[in-house]
Amino acid sequence: MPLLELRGVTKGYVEKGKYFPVLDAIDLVVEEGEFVTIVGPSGSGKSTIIRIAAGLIPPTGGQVLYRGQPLAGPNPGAAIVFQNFALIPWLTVQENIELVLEARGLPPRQRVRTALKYIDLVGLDSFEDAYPRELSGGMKQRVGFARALAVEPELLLMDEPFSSLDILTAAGLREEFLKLWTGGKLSIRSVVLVTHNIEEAVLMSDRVVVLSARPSRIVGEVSVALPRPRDPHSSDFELIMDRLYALIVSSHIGR
Amino acid sequence: MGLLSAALWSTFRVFVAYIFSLLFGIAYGILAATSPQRERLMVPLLDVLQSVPILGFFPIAVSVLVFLFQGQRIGLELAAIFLIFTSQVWNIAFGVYETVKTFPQDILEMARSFGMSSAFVVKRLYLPALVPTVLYNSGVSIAVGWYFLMASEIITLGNVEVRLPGLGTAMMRYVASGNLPGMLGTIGTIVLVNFCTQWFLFRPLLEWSNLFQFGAVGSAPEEPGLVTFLRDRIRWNWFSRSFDAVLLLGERIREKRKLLVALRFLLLGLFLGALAYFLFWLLQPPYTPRLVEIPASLMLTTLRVVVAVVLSIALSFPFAVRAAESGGGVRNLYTLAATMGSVPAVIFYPLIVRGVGQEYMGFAAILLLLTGSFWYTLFNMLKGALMVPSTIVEMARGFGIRGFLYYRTILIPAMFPSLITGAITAWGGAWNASMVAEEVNFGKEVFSLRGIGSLLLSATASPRELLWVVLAMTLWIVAINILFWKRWYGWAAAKYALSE
Amino acid sequence: MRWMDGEGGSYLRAGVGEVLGLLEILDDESGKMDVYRLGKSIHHHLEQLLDVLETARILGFIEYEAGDVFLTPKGKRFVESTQDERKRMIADALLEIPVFRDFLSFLSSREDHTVELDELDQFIVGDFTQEELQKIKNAFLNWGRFAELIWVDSDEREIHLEEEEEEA
Repeated sequence: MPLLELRGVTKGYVEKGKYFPVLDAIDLVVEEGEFVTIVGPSGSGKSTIIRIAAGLIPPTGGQVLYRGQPLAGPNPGAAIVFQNFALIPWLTVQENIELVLEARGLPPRQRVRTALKYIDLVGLDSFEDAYPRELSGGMKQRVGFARALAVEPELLLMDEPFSSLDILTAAGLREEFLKLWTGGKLSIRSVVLVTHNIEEAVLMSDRVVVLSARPSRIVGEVSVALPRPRDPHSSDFELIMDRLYALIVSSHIGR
Repeated sequence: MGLLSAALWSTFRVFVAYIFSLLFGIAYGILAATSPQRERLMVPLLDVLQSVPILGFFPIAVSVLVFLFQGQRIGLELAAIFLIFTSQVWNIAFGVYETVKTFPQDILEMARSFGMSSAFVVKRLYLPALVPTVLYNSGVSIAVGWYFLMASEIITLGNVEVRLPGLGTAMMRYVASGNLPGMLGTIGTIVLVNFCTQWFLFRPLLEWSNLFQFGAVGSAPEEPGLVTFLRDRIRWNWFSRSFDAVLLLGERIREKRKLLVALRFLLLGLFLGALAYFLFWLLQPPYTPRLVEIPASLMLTTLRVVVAVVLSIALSFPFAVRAAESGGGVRNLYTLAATMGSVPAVIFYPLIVRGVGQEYMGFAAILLLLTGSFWYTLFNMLKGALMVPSTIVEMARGFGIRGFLYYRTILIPAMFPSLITGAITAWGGAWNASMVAEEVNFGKEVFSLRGIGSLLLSATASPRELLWVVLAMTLWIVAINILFWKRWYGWAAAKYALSE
Repeated sequence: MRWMDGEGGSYLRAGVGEVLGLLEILDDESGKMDVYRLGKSIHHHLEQLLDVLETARILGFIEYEAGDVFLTPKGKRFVESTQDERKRMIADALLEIPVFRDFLSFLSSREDHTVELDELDQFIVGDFTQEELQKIKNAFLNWGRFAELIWVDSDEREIHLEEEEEEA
């Protein structure tokens, strides 16, 4: 049974009395153990898919199944890593993580233990008492990762988690996350990543799904059967990049 | 000593009113910002309440409370606290509303994705995020509260004048008897109390409040001793639990939808009925001379208010220029302004009026309006000057843009939105001061100036006339706000936004 | 019904500077470039890439085929032109685009050769969000001003016909 399944999901919203379709009949299956990336230009509704999978917004039409069950309300099996970190400025690193554990109803002692464990895991030990404002962008996103991992989700949803970081920091953090993911130390079964960076998609995931411009449909997908860590300069890698670019650009240009 | 107990009584009133303002303002702001339905009703209401001269409503509030408490002192105390409360609460409520309204969307999304309940969000996210705006507005509120204190301790009911123990009453007594040391002592006490509040309470708290600002950078501010003390001593769990209980009660009530809808219709029916009766009572003849007098009086007062606002802007300008150029040291200026602004200039007023005499009372009145409006333009323009990016100031210096050219092309446009905000609040402050500026009783002597304020005082004996005057004034001010200030502000904010 | 097949495709979305940059890069690569390498050179910024390619294609400066981007002869000529010649070429290219043609004839039909800025909205037909609409309008004005076909009075929020160009 797939972990997550979107069946003919459509989504639109009403602005100034006019209906705007965002997603048009999206069919997406995320199997257990899979790392799927969705790419598309901004405004294509990539982030909308993440929010629908997390149960934050209901689809206008179609079905969202989590472990075969229709989803109603926030998905308790999923956690999100946000593009702009979404950290609370008046809470320390540890308190930021404890806050979501408190919301999930963990007793105080266990909160502290879990928070410290994941702070360690993402390499933020000795930063427990720092406030977010004292951290660099990369370290802030580490807190974002630690917070998402701390609720021990089965499905990790990543909404452009590296696009607010500079190129070097992003590369480093991607590398570290892949190590954790392949190391099998996490509770996570599957990952859905959303990005507009095609190289990032090929570097990280097992499968890349391409969205059209709004209202988005899936125009194709490319599977990346390369061993990790991947070398962006290898000819296999460039071949896949080339195919992806061709797929995306020809679906947009001169329709 | 008399002065000490007077000071304690006055301080007590200001702080009790302030605590109510705090609770009410936070609740009002959060409620208004969290439901579009409530917002449609509560924000325009807030706009009106914020812009009408509260002092004008005072006679009505006093009559009601005195009637309810059969003329006992508790009724008068409540009336005084109520007056101070109405002068303090709206800016807090508005600040809270704006902060909740602009609360970062991604944080809310994060909260939902991790399964935080709405009660959890209010308690753990909204309330802390309100700390900066509440503290900033509290400094202003306390200062304004002192300004109104003087007017609240002496209550006129028809021909009877009741005095509550306090610094305002003491001052009036010293002024009447010409006791100079007494006057100086009273003013000194007020300045001292305010200086201590601003310097030892709000200054450190304001600095610390930067911690709660989204997007703030740099090292985290140190926690003031007071906060540490409160955090360790107070049993927050108790607060948290009673807060949950209140929210739960709200949920329970909301669940009983049918009852609520019925209640709403009942209230609406009652309200409309009362309104119809009220309008009938109000609009039927006779139209006494006092009612005919309203338009001319309104114009005269408006004229004085406009002069005061223009002067306030002109006087604040040099300070703003200095602040824009030096950048630092503004926190001290804020503390100083908050302290000075709390000195109730109203108390010198009778002396000045008597000094210049009836003939020049108009000038004295404008001077008084100035003390009610200047601080608002100063506060806002200082804030605006601080927001002028230092790169722009440096650019001007680099290209040798100086003097009049610099003010005209750079500084004034850059500060324009906050200048307008300042002018709007100053406009409100000057109207408020108008309520006390137009009639002065000095012992047996009465000085009076034609205008809506003196008309209002003369109408206190007749409820119908009083309501006419208050309503006419309210409508006039609200109309100007909508037709003039709102538009101008929208235009200024769009045109002079400091981003490209 | 396919809204995408309608006029949605013929709007310029990128600005003058971006198109110039694209053409310069292509020219350096002697007129032909793999779209993947082009993407890499702008750090895989997908949206910018798609916008600038579509804009340059509508103006007739590039062609796209099977994963490659080509500079057309017109594009080549544009890169080698002086600023004034470029403006003239853009003006000619814009007049080929229905939206611009319609708008300009509407503008000249007005007695004072002036329209309100908001009247532009009615020429942009399609299923756009506010954000997209703004982008398209910005690009529209950007190109129209560059080609000296129109000028914009931001204070009055009006668009005027550039008269000298009209008479020349």
